Amino acid sequence: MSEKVEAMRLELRRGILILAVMTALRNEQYGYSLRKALGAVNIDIEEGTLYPLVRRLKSYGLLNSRWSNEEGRKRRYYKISERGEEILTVLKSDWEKLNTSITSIAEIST
Amino acid sequence: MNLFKEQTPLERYIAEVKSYLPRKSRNDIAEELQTNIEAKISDMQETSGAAQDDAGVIQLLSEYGHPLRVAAQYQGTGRSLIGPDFYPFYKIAIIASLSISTVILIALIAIDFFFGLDIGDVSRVWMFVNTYIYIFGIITGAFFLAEIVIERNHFLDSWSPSKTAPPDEAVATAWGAIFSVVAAITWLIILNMVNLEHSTAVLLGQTGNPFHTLVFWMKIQLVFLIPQYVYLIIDQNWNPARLGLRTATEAILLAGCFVTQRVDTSAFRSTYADLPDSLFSLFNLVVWLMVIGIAISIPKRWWKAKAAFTRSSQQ
Repeated sequence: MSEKVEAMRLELRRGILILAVMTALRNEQYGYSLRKALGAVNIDIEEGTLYPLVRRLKSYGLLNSRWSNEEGRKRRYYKISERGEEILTVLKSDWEKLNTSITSIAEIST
Repeated sequence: MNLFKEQTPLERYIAEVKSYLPRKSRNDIAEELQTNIEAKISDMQETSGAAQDDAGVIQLLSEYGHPLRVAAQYQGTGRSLIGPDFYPFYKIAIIASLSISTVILIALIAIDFFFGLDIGDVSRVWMFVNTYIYIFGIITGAFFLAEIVIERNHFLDSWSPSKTAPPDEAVATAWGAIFSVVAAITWLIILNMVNLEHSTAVLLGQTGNPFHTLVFWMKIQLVFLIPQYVYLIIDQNWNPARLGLRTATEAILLAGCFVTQRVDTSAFRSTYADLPDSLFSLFNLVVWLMVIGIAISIPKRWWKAKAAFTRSSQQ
């Protein structure tokens, strides 16, 4: 696949990733387990993109985090915050509207 | 005995990433990144049933990429020196200025070679390097300043279609403004080929050289003019502050012309007795033409701006 098409695909996925990450973080996860959870539903995301994104969402107050030390393994867990839930509702609504619009366009043009 | 524990590839990698991170958050980010990579290594070991050796870890780390790039991902959306809004104009200004200056420098060297014009003892290579450094410095500085002003005033956020003036009432077009930026910067570079010590002498009132005097005032004017042109690239409309600043900039050159005319050139002319009188006559003519040009352009600009202000107050 050409580089331009790949760039377009990345562009398309970029906005959706926030929605996916926030939805997945309704269950508490640490960085790598979050990546696996997303990969399990075919949302493959590079770690170099995911981890900074999670930290950014945390800095916006959309996620809460805590350090845990279980069986000698130190990990930082993230979970969506109350504010994050509010934003997620808005984002999901936008996503559904967009999805409906795209479906309508597709129907009109076929 | 080795007092220092040998670092693993992962530890070395994390230490390097850490060195590129901001001091405030580097320990936190590095620790989190390390725990995530360790979790991945552990997962790979469970999947394959074999312990990961250094080669396996190095392979894994190479997939993460250069530590600088990993650290950059954590830097967020910090601004670059020249942001994306201005970058295309910045690039054009740099390319055009470099091209124009290169042509001028080659022409000067050719004149020196064929006609024996003395362009000083400075090395030819250094002339080019010096000019290019000036171009990068001045253009980058001008764009950077203009961007800061625009961001602080939230200009792009407060824009509305009603603020768009008809072409005949605008100060310039965006492309005209880019051309002006390039021309002004190139002109400043050329003027800067006159040594700084001469400008200092003018500043201290210790020169009898009218050419250096005029060059000095032109430089001052250009320093004020270039940021105005950069700003014009995104906002081509008149406003009272812009009109005032533009008038003040022209007044600087006007003052420079009068000061130049008042310079006592007798000592200078006796030192350089070979200089023909016609050169001084031509120079005086140029200075007076500049005075007339400025004298006409100031009221003309005020008239044009007045029409734009009237129009915007009626909206």
